[in-house]
Amino acid sequence: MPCMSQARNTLDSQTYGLRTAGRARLGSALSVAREEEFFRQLFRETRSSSKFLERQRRFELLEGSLIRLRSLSQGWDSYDSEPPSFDATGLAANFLRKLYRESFLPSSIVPSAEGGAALYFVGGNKNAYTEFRNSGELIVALYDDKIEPIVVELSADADETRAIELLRSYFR
Amino acid sequence: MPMKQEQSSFLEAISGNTPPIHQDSKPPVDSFQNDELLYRRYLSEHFNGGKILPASFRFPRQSFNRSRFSKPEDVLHPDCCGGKALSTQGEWGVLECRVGQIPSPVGSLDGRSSYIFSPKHVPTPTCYAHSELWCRKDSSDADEYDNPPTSVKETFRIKLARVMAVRIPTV
Repeated sequence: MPCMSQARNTLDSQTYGLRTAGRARLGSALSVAREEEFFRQLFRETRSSSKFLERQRRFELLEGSLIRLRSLSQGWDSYDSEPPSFDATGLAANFLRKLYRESFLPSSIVPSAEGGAALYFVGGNKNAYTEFRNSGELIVALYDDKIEPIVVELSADADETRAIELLRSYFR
Repeated sequence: MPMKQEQSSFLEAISGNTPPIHQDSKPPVDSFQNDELLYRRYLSEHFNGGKILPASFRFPRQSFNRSRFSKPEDVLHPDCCGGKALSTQGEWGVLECRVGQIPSPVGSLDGRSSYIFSPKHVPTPTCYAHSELWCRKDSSDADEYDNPPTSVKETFRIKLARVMAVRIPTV
């Protein structure tokens, strides 16, 4: 039956056409999706790289502050305070590198009038510091404007991990 | 070491060229009123986020000038800095607090002892206003100085930093 055969051929041809068009549209849609995903990934990488660079820059500034502490002399604060010792700044530098690896950098590093290097952390209305004393002590203090300060005495060469845990849990 | 030109001019401008009061055999005056001010110099790097950092204070016997015999700017004058001009490496300002704001008493961690902090007038030959913050256990005599444990020292430094306000910003 030529008519039936002709009709089937026409139907097959239409189906083929639709399939081809569908595939082309699907391919195009997939291509757009892939493109979007590509740009999203690129954006994520750029943002992450910018954060990395920012963190790197901050770390270098803090490291510079720490190095400058080594040039202070007796009475640097005009109240006859001791300058931070080489050992205290060395321990503080190790601690700073650990903090860098943990993406938990302090906001500033200053000399302590008690003799040593102090790393200050600020987050919202919470404050904390760690002081590496010339005496070998490591002090961690957590405080804000109202509550009774929390003071923990540690040993500078052994308790750095504990200090980081305390700081992290306070700012969590 | 000579002072920076701008710092020297600043000091002359604010002090009106009047040096701090010298002791000249005058005896110390023991009593302090609660509303009397205490002045202390500070370094700009110890001022962060609108507040003075506890790292600015050390034990024992923190030095201040009492306002009864001193202008705020006197603490920047060489006569009240042990005869030395302030280092040109730093930028200096002046803090103040009232005697009644001194955080006292401060309890030890174990709760067994309490430490009382109070000002004592300790004039020097060229700085009659020079005073110190003394610390003693609540059970000790008023003239004794007791060295407090680390937790009391840190708590006191933090609380003292809370009450100190800027009187003269750093230059």
